[in-house]
Amino acid sequence: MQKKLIAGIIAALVIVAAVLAFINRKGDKNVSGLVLVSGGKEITVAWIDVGGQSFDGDLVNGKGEVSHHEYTGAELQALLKANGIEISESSAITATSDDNYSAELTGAELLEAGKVFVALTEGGEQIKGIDGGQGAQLIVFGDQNSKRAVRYLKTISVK
Amino acid sequence: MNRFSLRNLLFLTLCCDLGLFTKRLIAPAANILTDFLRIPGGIGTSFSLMFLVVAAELVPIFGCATLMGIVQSIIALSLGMVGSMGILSPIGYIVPGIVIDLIFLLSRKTGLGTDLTLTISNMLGAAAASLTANFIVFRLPGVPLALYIVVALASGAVCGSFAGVLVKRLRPVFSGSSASCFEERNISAINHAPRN
Repeated sequence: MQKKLIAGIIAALVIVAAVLAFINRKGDKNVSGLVLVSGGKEITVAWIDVGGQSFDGDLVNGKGEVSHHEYTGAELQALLKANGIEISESSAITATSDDNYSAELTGAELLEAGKVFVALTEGGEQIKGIDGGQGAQLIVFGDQNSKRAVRYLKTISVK
Repeated sequence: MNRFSLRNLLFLTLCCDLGLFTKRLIAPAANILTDFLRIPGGIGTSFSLMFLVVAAELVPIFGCATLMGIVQSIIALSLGMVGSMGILSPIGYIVPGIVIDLIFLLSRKTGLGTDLTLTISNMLGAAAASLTANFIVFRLPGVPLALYIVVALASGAVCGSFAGVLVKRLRPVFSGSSASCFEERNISAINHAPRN
């Protein structure tokens, strides 16, 4: 009798959890912007609120070719700070795209001025998202290849 | 029976350590699910509390789970295993211990069955741990908070059932008198002895 009751409780809780998980994920899809995750909290910054700071620099591709690029967007450290997320040198940052490509950054890299940015436009053109709308790209100046230039940037997680 | 026997105290210590370290062990697997659900945890805590629940059932001392929570928090602090709660992490260990003790007290007064007591205490202990973490650190809003608590309750119920299995296996070794157990084994040995 007790075992049946316990099985019933577990089944009911699993169903409730599944429904809540569905609602939780559905709610996320309606948000369009960059998701910042830190200490279990999620903040979605609308693309328009990310910032319009102009920045430019040289990037190196996988073949070692250097090219100059001009962007608008925001320095990642400033964006995190503006949203109440403090970075220390020991912080570990993961940038993830809408198609689940990810790149790792250190707190020390973020704290280095002029190194890590979130770009919304490149050469005056909007950077496209995976669905064709506004998107973002992670820009890391000083890298010897473009592996951390995450396109379709969606989430920045800080640990 | 001496409830504070060396065997009981050693068992409590073992369960403290198992609770603390197995949480770290299963965290990578648990995180796959919690990351998918976009909640900050709940499953590892339920598994960790299973050992407190087993100990509270087999060592019937009131306050035993709270005591184990205190010991766990001291170990965690001394080893720097403070997680996201930082210096406040002892609260996260002690509150579930208090809840487990209260459920056991209630169960002994109302005569709730063992399996149900283990399940409910593990469920509510895990939910209390999640609520404490949410209050101190996460501050999740509506739906994510509800999901976090429900996942803690569900995983607590599953771990509580496992606790029931563990208790059934351990009780013959542990409970009452080891002498009766010893006698049973002797009788068994006599029965299996070759007869001429």
